Amino acid sequence: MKIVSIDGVSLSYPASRSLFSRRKKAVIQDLNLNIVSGENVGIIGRNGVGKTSLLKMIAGILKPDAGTIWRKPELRSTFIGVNSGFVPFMTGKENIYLTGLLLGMNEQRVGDKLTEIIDYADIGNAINDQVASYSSGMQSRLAFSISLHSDPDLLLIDEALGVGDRDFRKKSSESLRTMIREDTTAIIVSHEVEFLKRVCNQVVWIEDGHVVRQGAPSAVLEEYDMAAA
Amino acid sequence: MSRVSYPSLLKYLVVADFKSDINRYFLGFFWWLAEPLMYVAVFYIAFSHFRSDDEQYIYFLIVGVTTWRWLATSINLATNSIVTKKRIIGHFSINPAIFTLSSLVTQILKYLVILVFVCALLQLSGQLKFAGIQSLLFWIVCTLSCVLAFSLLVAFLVAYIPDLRVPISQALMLLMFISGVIFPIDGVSEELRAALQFNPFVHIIEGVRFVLMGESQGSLPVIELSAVFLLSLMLLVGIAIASSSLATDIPKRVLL
Repeated sequence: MKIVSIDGVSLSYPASRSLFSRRKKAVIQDLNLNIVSGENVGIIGRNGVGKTSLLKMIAGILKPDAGTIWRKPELRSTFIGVNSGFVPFMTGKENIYLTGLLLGMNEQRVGDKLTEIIDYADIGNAINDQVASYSSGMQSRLAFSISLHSDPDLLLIDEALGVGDRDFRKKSSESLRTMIREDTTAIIVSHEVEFLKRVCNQVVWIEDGHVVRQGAPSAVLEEYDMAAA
Repeated sequence: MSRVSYPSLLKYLVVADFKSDINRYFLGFFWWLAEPLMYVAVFYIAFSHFRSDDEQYIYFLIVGVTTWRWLATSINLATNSIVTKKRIIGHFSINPAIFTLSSLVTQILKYLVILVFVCALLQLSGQLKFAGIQSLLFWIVCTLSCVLAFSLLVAFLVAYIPDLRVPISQALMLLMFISGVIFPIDGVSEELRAALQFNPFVHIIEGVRFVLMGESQGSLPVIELSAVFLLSLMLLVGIAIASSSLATDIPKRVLL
């Protein structure tokens, strides 16, 4: 079943902060893409081709300048980036509550899931420390754990799993596979070809804001590797 | 997209603000009271000799300065309320106005604590001449609508044009001197007094003095405060209408 449909979408950013500049930098141009429930979709492409912007548009964080993005009504989506949306001066535990609320959970539900979230993130007593003292890997583990336990229909992961250690990457890959079996959909932006081959059902290759290829991971990633070489 | 419960989020952000305030300083919430009172002390030392014949001057200053500090701090903090939350705005689909609102609610709660202290002080010195609940409620509605409208306006403006932070802060300092905080505006020339009628903060400061200290401080500026309320309401409606396109643009702006 289709859960997201992207139709002729374009997105640009102001080229500078200057009040006198009207220049814009196009990052996505007339992009079309459909996402089906229960799939793991990998997105690959060079830096700056619009992968993160695409995820943020699907999450509803950014609105397209042109075209439409249709989402299944009541779709619960979660975006996880390398720089988590945590508040640095708050502790890990306080950020769990804040992030849970921002993801649409209520305080009681966050409280019920708190132990599971902390156990999964496996960051020990650091959960009571300010997030400012966390490494990027620890932040990603915590962000991934909260997102996982918010029971999303759609996980949007932007390079976030690449910064975790080997054990966490193995654990997160397994969780993603379990979630697919349970009908959760994930869209994963990553430069790690092997990781995408392992967890994705299909891969989308984006260049200059357009979809270049879309299909089975092995075929698309092979072509991408050849083009990059 | 998830449906965020804004009341729960607001409550959480306000509690987090208080916790951070208490943890940030050695003396924690003692500073809520100490800071405005230190301002009063500074102004009293600097300006009381110009008002040596006015025995009520210290109480005039206490009510004016504590109220002004609340107004100015609320608007000053609002300027940064959206841009400092860019990490959250870049990760979640959320209306950025919630951060301005939470900053404002935190300041209102702090002001309530200060107001209770000021009332106790006025009562002890026999200066408390409460003008009645109707006047208080009228003043609260007009003042809150004004401070909310200004806070949202500066928060959105600074999200677009960060350079405005400094002029806004300087404009607030200028406003303090022309809002009757330190001297009553009766003492200025007729022309200047006529011009100052367009400054909403003059009426807010005059209003709070009347509500707490009664007719010794003039009368409640009903017409002027009503005008402040109506103009604030119009500004809020304008911001609400513009907010759908602002919500589209602000994440792009703050993430630049």
